[in-house]
Amino acid sequence: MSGTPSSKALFNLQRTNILLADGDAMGQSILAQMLAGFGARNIARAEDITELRRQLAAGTFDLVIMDPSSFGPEGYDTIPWLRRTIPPPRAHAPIIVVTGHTEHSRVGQLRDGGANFIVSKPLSAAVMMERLLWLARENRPYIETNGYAGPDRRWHDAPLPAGVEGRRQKDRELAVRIAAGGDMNQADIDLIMTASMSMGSAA
Amino acid sequence: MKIYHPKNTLREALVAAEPMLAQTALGRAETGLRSIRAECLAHLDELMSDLDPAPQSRGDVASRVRHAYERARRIIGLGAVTDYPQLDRAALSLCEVADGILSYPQPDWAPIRAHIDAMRLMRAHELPAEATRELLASLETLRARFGFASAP
Repeated sequence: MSGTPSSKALFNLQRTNILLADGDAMGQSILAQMLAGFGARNIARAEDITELRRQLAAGTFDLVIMDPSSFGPEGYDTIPWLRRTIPPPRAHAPIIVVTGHTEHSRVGQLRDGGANFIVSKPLSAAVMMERLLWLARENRPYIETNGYAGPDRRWHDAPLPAGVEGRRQKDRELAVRIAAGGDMNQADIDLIMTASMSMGSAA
Repeated sequence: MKIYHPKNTLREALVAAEPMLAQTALGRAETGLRSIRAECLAHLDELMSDLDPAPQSRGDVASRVRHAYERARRIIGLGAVTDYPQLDRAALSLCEVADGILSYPQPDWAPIRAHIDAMRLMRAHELPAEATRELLASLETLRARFGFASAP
C-alpha cells in the first residue's frame, strides 16, 4: 500500500481549528508550514506548558498536534490531564503526538497517555497527511477507566493507517484493494452459496 | 468504565472545506518547507555547535550527556528539511545512546563524542555516500551497544 494519498483524494484543512504545540520554535515552524500548505487558516500555537494548558482548557479544537517531549516532564502529563480534568467535548479533542525521541523511562507514560496517534520525527508532509486522513476516518469510542482515559486502544475493528504495520495477523489495512479477475456471474455465486449451505447443514 | 462516542469534528471540517486535491496540498506544504530551509539550516548549525557544552559550563558527565541529548532531540526533523537526512539518523542514534548511558552508574562520554564528531563531519564536508553509510553504520554499532531499543 502506498504511503502517499491517491492523486484524486481531496484534502483541505481550511475549516479545521488546530492547536499546534511544540516547545521548539523551529519544530513548530516546520509543522506549521505543512499545515498551512494543507490549507489550514486557524492555527493556535503554544510554545510553553502554561499556554498549552490554557489553550486546551479554553479552546475547542478539531485537531491538536503536540510534541510532549519539548515541554519537559509536564509535557507528558498534559494529555492525561486534558482527558481527565477538562469536561467534554474539549477532553475528547483528537491528538497527534509528534516526537523525535522519547526517553525509555517515558515510553509507557506516552503510550498510555491517551493520544490518538504517535508519529515519529522526521516527518514528511505525505506521512502527516496520511495520519490526518486516518484520524478523520476513525470512529473509535473514548474510554474512561481508573487507569486510562482516551481513545479505545483495541484496534481489532479499526483499519491501520497506510505504512503502519499491525502486530496481529487479523489487523486490516485501510485501503480497499482492487479485486483480482473479473466479476463473478450469478450462477457462480449461487453455486458457492448452495455449496456452503449444504456444508453447514452437514456439519 | 465510561464509554463516549464523540463527534469526529475533524472529519466534519474536512468535508465542509472547499475541495483541494491532496497532491496540490502536498505540493504547497513542500514549497512551504523549502521556504524555511535556510532558517532551519541556521538553527541546525546552532544546535550542532552546542551539542557539547562549553568547558566552563560543563558539569559532570551525566549532565553533559543530558545536554547533548536535549540538543540532539531538537535536531531530529531538521535534517529532513535541510537535505541532511543523515543528521536526523545520527541525532536519533545519539539520543538512544545518551538515554542508555544515563542509566549507567558511571556514564561514559566517549560514545556521545563519537556521535558529535560524526555529525560534524557529515555537516561540514560533502562526504561520498559510501563514507556517510559507513559512519552511520558505526553509529548504529554504538547504538546497539549502548542504547535502549528504538523508541517511541
